[in-house]
Amino acid sequence: MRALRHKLIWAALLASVLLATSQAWTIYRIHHHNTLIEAWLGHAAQRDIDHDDLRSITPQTDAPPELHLAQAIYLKQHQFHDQALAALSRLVGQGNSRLQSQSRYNLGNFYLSQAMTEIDQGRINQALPLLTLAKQAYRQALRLDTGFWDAKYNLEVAMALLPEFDRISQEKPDDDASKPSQLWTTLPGFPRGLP
Amino acid sequence: MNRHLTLLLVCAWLTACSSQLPPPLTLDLQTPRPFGYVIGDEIHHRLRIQTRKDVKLVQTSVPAKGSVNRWLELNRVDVQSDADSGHTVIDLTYQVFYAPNEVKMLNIPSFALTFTQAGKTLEHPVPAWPFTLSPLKELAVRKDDNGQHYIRPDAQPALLPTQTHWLTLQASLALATGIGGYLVYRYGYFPLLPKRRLFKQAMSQLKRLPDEATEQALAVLHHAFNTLNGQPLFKHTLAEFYQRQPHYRVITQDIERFFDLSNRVLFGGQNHIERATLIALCQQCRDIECGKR
Repeated sequence: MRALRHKLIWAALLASVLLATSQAWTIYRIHHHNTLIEAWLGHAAQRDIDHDDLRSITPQTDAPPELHLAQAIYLKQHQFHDQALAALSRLVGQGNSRLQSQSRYNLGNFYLSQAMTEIDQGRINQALPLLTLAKQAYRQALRLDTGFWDAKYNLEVAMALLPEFDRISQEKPDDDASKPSQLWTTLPGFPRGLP
Repeated sequence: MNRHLTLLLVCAWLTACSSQLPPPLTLDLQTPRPFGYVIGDEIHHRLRIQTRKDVKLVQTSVPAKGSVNRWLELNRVDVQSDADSGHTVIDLTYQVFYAPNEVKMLNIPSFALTFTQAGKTLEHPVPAWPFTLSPLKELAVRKDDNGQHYIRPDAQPALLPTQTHWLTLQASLALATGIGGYLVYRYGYFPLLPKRRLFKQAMSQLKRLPDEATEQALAVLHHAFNTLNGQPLFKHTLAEFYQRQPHYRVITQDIERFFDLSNRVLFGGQNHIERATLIALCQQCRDIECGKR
């Protein structure tokens, strides 16, 4: 009994040392991730990471979704639109509800910014599907987080740019309660990644 | 006269009976304030329905989750019925996706709930609910400093939290330190606790002594036993020693053999003993001292 207790004490010591080591390693990794996030968001002085590295670093698939989101923001700010869209796409279904809401909102911002650029250049036809995608993304964000004020505001901007009207019908009076399938703005099967 | 009186009584009785019967169903629509909503807001409606026991709600008549119309979605539907009391509560959570240019009155559409009673179908309407929705942005197009349409910026992710890991690290280090300290104490590495290192010191002395120093070797072990016992230990006082140090009972035979050997050397004229025997006994005592046995 005494010998067993002695072995258990050693086992407890070993377990606590292993736990401490694993926690120290986890903290080190989180610190590394946070440094990257801050660098991508431009919050910290990028002493050790230069611009090319920040662009080329690709978080591993199992990396925390916050990393992908921060990277997508960086890529979008530096006009790497395709890579930003790819980073945002990797986030679909990842993370908690708040992060999913944020990623959908940022996706909406991505499409809305692209649509605004198209509108400024007079390419309305290219802008319409982008606005539809932006509205979809904002709606998804708001379904996940109904108190997301920025998503509410930007959805209203997108809806002001592409108002939704009901189909004009001789038989049926125009009201705001018609089914979505009767809308002008429905664009089934439009490719998501355009242009 | 009697006939009139009887008729009057029957009518009065029927009237009394009919007033005691509860209505087949009552429906109460509980709604929040009808103003102050903006795009993306949720609106909760609660329907409290009281029916007679023979009246059953047709579940399929309850609105289904999904799109109600172009700007309204039904996100959650929760129906809770109590068959015994005939009480049903339906919670409906709508979400509005309408972008008005000014404060606008909208309606959550009416619908009808269906009930069955003795094979017959009853329909009970739930009225439309009007409310006002306000815009978030001004009507004029707002531009930012770069001349672009003003939109809210991207959402930035929060930094990954480390607090839980720090707490776990501190707790595991504290535990490791505590256990380590206990083991150091058990192994006699604290210089201020000499009793825990008696046989450790004896072992090192035994190993240093030359082979011919038989009596000195025995004296080293006797000294360790005496110190542990708190007084000189003899073979005939071993029973008291085991009462004070019960962990040493497991090597009773070895200790007794040691005392026999000691007697033979010190008083019987035996000159030579196997040093390994003494070292083995000392090692056993050392294991007990550390708590290994």
